[in-house]
Amino acid sequence: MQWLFNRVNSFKLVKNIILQLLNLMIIGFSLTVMFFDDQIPKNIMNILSILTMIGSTSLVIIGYMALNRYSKKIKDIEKVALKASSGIFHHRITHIDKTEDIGELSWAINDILDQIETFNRDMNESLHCISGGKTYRKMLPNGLHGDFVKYSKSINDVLQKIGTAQSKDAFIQDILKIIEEYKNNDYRNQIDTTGMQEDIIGLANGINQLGTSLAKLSLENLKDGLQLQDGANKLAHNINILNIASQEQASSLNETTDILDKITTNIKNNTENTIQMESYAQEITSCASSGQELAAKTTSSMDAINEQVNSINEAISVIDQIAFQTNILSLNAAVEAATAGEAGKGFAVVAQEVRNLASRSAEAASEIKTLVQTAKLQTDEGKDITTDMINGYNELNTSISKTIDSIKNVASATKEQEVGITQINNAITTLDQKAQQSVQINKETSIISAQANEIAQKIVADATEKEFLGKNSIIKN
Amino acid sequence: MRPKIIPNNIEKQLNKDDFIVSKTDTKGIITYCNQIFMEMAEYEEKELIGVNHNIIRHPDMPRIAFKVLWQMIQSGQEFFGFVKNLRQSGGYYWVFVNIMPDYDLNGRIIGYTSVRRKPNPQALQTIIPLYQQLVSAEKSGGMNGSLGAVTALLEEKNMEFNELSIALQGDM
Repeated sequence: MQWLFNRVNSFKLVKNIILQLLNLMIIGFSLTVMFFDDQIPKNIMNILSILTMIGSTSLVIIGYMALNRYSKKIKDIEKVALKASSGIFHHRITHIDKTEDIGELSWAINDILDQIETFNRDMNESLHCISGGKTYRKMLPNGLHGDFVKYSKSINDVLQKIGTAQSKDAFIQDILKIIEEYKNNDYRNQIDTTGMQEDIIGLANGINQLGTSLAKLSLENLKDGLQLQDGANKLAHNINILNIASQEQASSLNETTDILDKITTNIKNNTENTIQMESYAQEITSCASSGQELAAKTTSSMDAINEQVNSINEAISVIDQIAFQTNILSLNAAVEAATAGEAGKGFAVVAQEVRNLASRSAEAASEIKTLVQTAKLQTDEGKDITTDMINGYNELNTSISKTIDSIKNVASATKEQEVGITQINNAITTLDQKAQQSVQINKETSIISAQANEIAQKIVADATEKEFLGKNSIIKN
Repeated sequence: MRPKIIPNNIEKQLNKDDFIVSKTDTKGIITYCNQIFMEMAEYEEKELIGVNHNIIRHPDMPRIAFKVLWQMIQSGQEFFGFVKNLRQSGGYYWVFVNIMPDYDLNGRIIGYTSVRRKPNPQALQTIIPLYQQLVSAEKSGGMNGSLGAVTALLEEKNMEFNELSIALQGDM
């Protein structure tokens, strides 16, 4: 029964079966009447007629029921079609029997609705997304048919163009932002060219290169500035040291000049002294020669004295003999006086006095002799002394000669010293001039170093105001 | 009660020029399916109408995929994703699915329409191992594990869910 009911759902089948059956029944009944009308009893004919009537009536009823179902399906389709015509596409025909004509139609309508609704919604969502900046949402032509595929592709082309324009606009905003940063001396960021359109990528790359160059330039500037600053500081420090050194040098040179002046004076004095010494030595030489001569003269005088002493000695011997003879004479006189008695008494006294005188003469002669001998000894001694003196003078002469040589040596050495000192003086003067020049140069260099420092500070300050990669690490260092 | 289907490895591929269309009410009960659906899932129309859409859910699918799907469509967003579906015979077919809410004239969600297309085979090379990972994450750590993995993936790619799905599908 269920099978039959299911079949009945199919109007086409029911219609065909009913028509076939009715046809069969009519043909069968007609043939039966035509050929067997006489042979078949009337009552059986009646039964056949009744059965045929019942059969055909049932078939008509079944057909009517099927027609009813058919028209109900048509209503369903009409409802969906009306909704679709009013712009509502989400209704569908369900419970479709494909064996029916109307089944095929229903599926065709559903397929049309699927195509339209899918296309519409796809378009709606894609447009909605692109207006919100979501470029990834596109029409999906797969599964759509015919014109819908064409339209989908056209819409996608437009979406692509809108997306490109949006993205280009975003990229241009990015580029402007980076340019603004560069204008404000911040070179740290670069334009991200990922996905950028070819017609503006050249511009972006150019700006990026500019940024790189500017950052590099600033980095170099900062490095150079810092290096220059460092150099200028070192220079200033060194100039200071040089200044102190130059000043010390200048004062040392002054002291040296003073000392040299004194030395020069001393050397000049020395020269004069040596010259005087030489003349003294010459004088001493002549004195010594005089002394030698005098000593020689003294020797000859001594010899003369010796001769005189000998003469004195001879004279004394004469006196001695005279005294002796006088003594004898006086004795004789005394004897004569004694014999002459009274007359001879006075003579005796004279004889006595003569005798005393003779004795005193002898004594005096003896004393003189002693004195002369002493004198002789002393002259001999004197002679020895003068001989020694002569020898001494000879030695003295030799020594003086040596001294003179030495003095001459000293004099020539002093001369050389003087020349040397003059040269030293000249050198010192040159040094002094150079030192003065150094001080002057130092002053000028100091000004230059200050200027260099100022420039370096400006460069560093200028570079520090800018922002670029690697800046902080350089400043920290 | 329907007899339980034992899945096998027989794949049926969707024709590139076709799409599967189905509609459900707000609870996921099927209200319409097109003929391609019936052909792919191997059911008659009357076997599908009035039945929950999960009749074709494949056990290889991570639950997180459906959680994300429902969250998105219930909040009025459309959903794009890759889904492995189960046929009545135990075979399977992969689809690139797009689901959108249906609204009445007052703007209330009255159901959902799903359009399923042939997925890009290259996308499946990424999706299949990813789903395997998510399924095993769910086995050990429940849905939190797989949700974390999906969130991390989207953050890493810096993409929305649909954006990633569409990107994977590419221009097919």
